[in-house]
Amino acid sequence: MCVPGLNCYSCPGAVGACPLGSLQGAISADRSTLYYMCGILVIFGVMLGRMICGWLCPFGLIQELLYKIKTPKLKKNKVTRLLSYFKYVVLVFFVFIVPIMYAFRDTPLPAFCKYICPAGTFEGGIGLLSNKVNASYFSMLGPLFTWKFLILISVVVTSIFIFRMFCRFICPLGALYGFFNKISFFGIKVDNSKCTNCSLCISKCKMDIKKVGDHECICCGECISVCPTKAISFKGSGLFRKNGSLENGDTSHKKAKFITRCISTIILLGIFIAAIIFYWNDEKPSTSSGSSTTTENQGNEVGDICYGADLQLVNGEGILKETINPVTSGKITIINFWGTWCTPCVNELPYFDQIATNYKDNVNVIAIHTNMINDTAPGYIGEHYKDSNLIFATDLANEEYYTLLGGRGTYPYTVIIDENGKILKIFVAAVHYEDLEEVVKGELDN
Amino acid sequence: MTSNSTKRIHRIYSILLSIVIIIAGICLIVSCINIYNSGKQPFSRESVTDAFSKIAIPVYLCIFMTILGFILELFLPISSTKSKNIVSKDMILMNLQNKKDMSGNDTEITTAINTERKKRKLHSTIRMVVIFVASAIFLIYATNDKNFHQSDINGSMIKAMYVLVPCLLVSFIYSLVVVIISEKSMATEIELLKKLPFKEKGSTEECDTCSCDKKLAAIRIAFIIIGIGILIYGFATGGTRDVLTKAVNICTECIGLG
Repeated sequence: MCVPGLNCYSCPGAVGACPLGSLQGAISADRSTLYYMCGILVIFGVMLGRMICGWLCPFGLIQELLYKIKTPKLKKNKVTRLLSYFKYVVLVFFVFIVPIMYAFRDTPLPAFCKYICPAGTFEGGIGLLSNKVNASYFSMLGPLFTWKFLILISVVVTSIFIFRMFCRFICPLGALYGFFNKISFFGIKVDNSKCTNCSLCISKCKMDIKKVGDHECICCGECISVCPTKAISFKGSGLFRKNGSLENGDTSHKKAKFITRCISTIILLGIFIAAIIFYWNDEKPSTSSGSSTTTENQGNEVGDICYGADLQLVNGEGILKETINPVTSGKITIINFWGTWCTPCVNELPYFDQIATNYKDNVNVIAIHTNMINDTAPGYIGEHYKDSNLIFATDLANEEYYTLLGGRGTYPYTVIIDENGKILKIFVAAVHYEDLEEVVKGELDN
Repeated sequence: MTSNSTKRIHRIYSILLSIVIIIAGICLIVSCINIYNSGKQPFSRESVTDAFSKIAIPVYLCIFMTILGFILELFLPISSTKSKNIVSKDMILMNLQNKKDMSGNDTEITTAINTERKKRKLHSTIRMVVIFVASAIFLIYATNDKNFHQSDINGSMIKAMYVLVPCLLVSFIYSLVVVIISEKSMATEIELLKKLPFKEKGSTEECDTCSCDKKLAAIRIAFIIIGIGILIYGFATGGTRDVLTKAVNICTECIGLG
């Protein structure tokens, strides 16, 4: 299920998919998803418009919280208004053009997620790295993470000084929903018969709007309280706020404000202390699997005896063939877990093919797709690896074998085992031909 | 404590906090680049922690000062002052254009106003042309299949930036120039309009809200029908299942890990 706001679905705690990530995935790899994604974006847009940015987006919330830090603020001006058009460039180039161009080459590339999205770095990347269980992921960090981490820091720091910096200048999802703002069922409306064009609403608004309810308006409702003629209201209002509820100044309101602040400070301190306690008490759990076939030496770390399983082989037409057990094959076996939706997986597959060809007498290379039968994989294999020495296989139900070998939801994932089934090397990121050859040659020389 | 001294405390606090945040941000960026340039690959949790522990003081100071701010606000609240209502020149001009009578006999002022308007229109047109040309140049580059290599995706993206960034910069700088010229021109027009007499009441045109509402309702319904139609087709062809497959399996490169 797709949620409306910018929410990285690679976040360990995410239960809903990000519409922008899914849209790019749909454009670049899964055409069948494209209909679902377009439908859901149109419905979200027509129902709520950019109200999603103001009320539902988790990354917007993070930015608003950062903006509450008491520092001098940079107010909107003509330059920020010009910069607000930058998000349309990001939308066109990173969300549409690049994924489409690489889709023609059968290479999935969600360019915005990969090169820009700070929500992905924060919720997904740092979310995964901060867990001690994923300590091995540090080995795959390189220039890409350095670049994305710099973007994240820049966005976080500037969000303290500039209101919703990312939403205003960069976010392509906001740009997309902005097209629906004028026709959305919920949002902000202005009663033109009451409006005196005093522009109090525009000067109060922190976004780069030209008029209330335009494509930049996130429908936060701040302008409703300042309108002297009460010309501004929520579309379908009455559901959200009673008239005059924003007017303050009376004693009870001040008291309520004080209590709210006290509670907020306590919660903030509580979260901070809980995070510190959690960090120090979080012990590394055992990585051994709970498989019924476990023996003393079996495990999923280097040096352990690899778990075996009868894997069903598949050809380019998606037809199931005989089974293979990677541990009992008597050869060096490279087990690669991949997906057609995963850019590095698709890019490294030729290296596995090369190894399988160059060392066909000594090495078995088994490529296991995440969701072979129901996916576009058979077609992809048939087109690109019809006469290959690679062995394509399906995973057990619910990716059981992947989990058994220590996979934690991240792709690509490669395990190399020797003739006796002992794990020689585990790669948690993309590999090159040289990496594979080094391990294979090393083992053959021994 | 007097209101002025409270304000002074808050001002000093906010400036200090800003400095600390900026220093912490710069330290984080520098450390990140240093870690990468150190060449100690592959990185480990320990090596990254070691490198970042050097900048722990500004980061912790930043967190401490932020929490201090909330406490300060709690026990030493600053009385809210109404911010100045800065009305943009566009709004003033629009109001004046609606209210002032341009059909009078003062041809000298009306000619000057028209000259200003033509000037702004000319610059806007040139701006549109500049943006159009820049977009066209970039789109020609971006839609050329040969510029995107499968073997070197990151290199292709960097090369694309060499084309995109100059196109963006030219458009942005010229737009900025147009904004400055327009601001000056609008200020002149406002002064000129102030000299003209007001229109007689009742001469303003009113929008036909009824037909507008009907059109809006029709557009909404059309979009909803299209949306539901595509969504149902997406459900039927397994769109939700594929989104779920993608969601539960993480592509590490897509979130910037490697």
